[in-house]
Amino acid sequence: MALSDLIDHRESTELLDEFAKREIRRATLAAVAIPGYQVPFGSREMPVARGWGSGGLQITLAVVHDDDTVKVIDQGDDDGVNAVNLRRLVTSSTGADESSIASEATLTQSRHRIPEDGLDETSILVLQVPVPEPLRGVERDMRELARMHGEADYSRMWLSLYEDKVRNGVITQTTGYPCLVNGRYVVATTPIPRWDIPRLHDAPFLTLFGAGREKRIYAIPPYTMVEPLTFEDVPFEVENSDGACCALCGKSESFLVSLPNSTTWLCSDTDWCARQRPAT
Amino acid sequence: MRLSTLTSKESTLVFRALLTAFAFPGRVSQLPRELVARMPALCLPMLALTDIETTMCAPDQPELQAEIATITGARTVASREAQFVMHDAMPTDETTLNLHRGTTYQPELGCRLVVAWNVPTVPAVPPLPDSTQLRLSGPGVVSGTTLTVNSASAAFLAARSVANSRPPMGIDCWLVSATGEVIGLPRTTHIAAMSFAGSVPGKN
Amino acid sequence: MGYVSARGGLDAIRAAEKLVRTKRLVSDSNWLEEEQILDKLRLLVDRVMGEAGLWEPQLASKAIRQSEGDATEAVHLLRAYRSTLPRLTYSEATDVDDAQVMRRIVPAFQRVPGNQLLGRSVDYTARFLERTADADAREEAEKLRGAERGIVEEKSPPAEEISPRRLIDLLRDMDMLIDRRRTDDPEPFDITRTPARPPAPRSALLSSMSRADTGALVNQWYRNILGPDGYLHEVTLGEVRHATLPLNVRHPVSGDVVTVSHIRVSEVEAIEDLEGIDEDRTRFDVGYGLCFGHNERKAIAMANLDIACHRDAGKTQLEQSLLLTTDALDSAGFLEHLKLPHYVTFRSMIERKLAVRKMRSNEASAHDGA
Repeated sequence: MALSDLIDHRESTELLDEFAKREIRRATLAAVAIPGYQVPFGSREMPVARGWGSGGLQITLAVVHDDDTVKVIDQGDDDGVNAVNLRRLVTSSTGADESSIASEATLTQSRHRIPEDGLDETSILVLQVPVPEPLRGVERDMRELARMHGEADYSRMWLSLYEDKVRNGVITQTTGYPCLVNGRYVVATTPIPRWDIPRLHDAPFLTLFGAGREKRIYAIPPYTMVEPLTFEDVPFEVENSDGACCALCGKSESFLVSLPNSTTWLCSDTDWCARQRPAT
Repeated sequence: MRLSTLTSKESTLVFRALLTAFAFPGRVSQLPRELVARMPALCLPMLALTDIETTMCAPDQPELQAEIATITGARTVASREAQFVMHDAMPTDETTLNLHRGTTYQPELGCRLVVAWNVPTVPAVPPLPDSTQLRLSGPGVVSGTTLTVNSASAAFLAARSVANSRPPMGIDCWLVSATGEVIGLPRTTHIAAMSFAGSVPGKN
Repeated sequence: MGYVSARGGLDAIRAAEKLVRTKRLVSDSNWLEEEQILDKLRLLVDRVMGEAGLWEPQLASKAIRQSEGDATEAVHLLRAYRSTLPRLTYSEATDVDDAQVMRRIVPAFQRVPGNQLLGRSVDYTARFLERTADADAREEAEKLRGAERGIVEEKSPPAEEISPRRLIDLLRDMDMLIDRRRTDDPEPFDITRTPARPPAPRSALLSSMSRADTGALVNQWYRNILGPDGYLHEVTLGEVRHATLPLNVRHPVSGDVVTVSHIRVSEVEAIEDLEGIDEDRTRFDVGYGLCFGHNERKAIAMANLDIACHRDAGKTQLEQSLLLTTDALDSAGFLEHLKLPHYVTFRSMIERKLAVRKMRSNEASAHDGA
């Protein structure tokens, strides 16, 4: 008898074995119990490359079963190739249904946006995280980073924001604005725009953050304090569009992205946009 | 053996109930009823979450402890070292205070405690003589969430507060009833006594 | 189909997949068999297994064919497959002295017990590119094959040569080696289960390097050990080996230790001179390198970096570099993720630039007005 006879050769569609899922689940539970803390986990290699959503995908695969409905977006778009690729991997390996409507989805996996509406207490939001370490810009040594988070010593972060403001007149942080969660840990909010930051605070939904390459999971539970780091006399600013409207739906209430001509604007959340337009 | 291996889907369903319980502390989640009909609900969290790479302990129930270890492969260790601990009644203060709380740099090493919960969570009107109402607060807690407990449970919750007195270290708990209702109390949930018994119960 | 700010969706992906698959499988040249890859590109197969951390030459050759020769892509295929496999059991620890060597040299001494066995290596062949026409090269190979058939198998070399005593044992006999052997037996760190960060146990460092990208380790060596960038370590190589090792497990029923397979490894011991101010100048220390297959440059780099890291003792970020920047998939994957749409961030960047300009022009006009 050969060793290979012991292995079940039936073709499995599963991307993760049962042990991997349990490990991810234990890490996720720890993350929810310690809001904002980056929980290490044994991140497995996935059919998508590191940096392309392997962490978000692992969380989704560990959480989802075949009664779930899954929405996957990239830059707010359900139809982007990367979102399509991830969504078909999830639905084909778990049997879950798919939807582009956030209110119909029990789980939304997203790269760089929070859906404009539709997330409630029954929703789980999974954000793909390229760099889970919010302090990397001010410190490279991981031993020192562990100390800074362990002792809640974020003074260097505050200093760099202050220097930014002094040098440039405004805080020039673009997306992934650093926020203090539950008054304790500073987190990297992934490259979601500042537009989306206020919706993390006191949200009805659970947000899970998956960093596959750096092998960390963190979470913001529902109804949790999320405060963007800023100064008393420097109000937090979301992206300004000078009153531009979407060329497709005509609305200005959603996060807009522009064409290179910078005069044509479109909703980044394509499903929200489609629902604003009367059905033809 | 009373217990059996959970299927992949069963493990997922149990996990989801436990996740929701932590995400919304104080709110009742339900473990899958078909599973609760077949085996003790108290065992389901360990059966779903543990494996060969975890440690566990069920000091009051050595037979169930052995069954769980056989099924999941989890290693049995002393309660103070275990990542998962199960009790079929409120643990003593000494037990609770000795559970692993993690460290400042590794708070995730804090113990997950599963405790049998026999007290009805909906406050009776008029309140039962041995009951206290407690107010919950913290991440995930909807304002106004309360918990009605008897004195044994109140004592346990007081010990739990001590174990959680130096955040981010602490222990995370699930209270599981015989019918599979789960209440999650992650370490971030603060529990405080409300007004004296006899007042009109707040809404849950 | 096209990228078009990544719209196009499912149709685009399917069309791209079909194009890649068709171009890969359908061509005028002959079918590339797995046996050919195993046989004729053995060093690529060994490198890919080493970087994937998965010993299965047949699967590695499939991966190389599917990736059209992109080693990192082949590594990704193997590792993703590995993620679907449950862990059956743990092997018994293998004593590397149970190795049977096919090649073994010891640069530190001219003569050694068990002899210098040059073996199959290109080290001393002249690097002349053979430009023979394809058909002629093939004919020559056929003639050689005919000649080889007549040769009688030599009798096998003496045991002392197959399993020679390693140099550091001899150095210990000479009392020339610092003794860092442990008396305890800690569980090895499992990097596939727990992410390693500094400060990490030596087993985490060694297993990370064993599975590292070959080019990354060579570059780390060139930058930190002996090169234009880093500071000098006086390292002499002890053992440089290409050997087979048995893979042993405990039988589930009888409890006996059973050899279920063999693997091939490259193994290196690097002898460090220790010229630091607070180091023992009367003895040597040693660094260790081990990786799957025949990949000497990786094992040599690994051994050098092992002892360098020990000597560094956390003074620099060398340990962090080795643990965290040498994985093929982490580095290449993250690099290539830049091809994904980033227009939300880009739009936010443009907005901040305009905000800074507006702030400056407001300040300027306020200044003018004063």
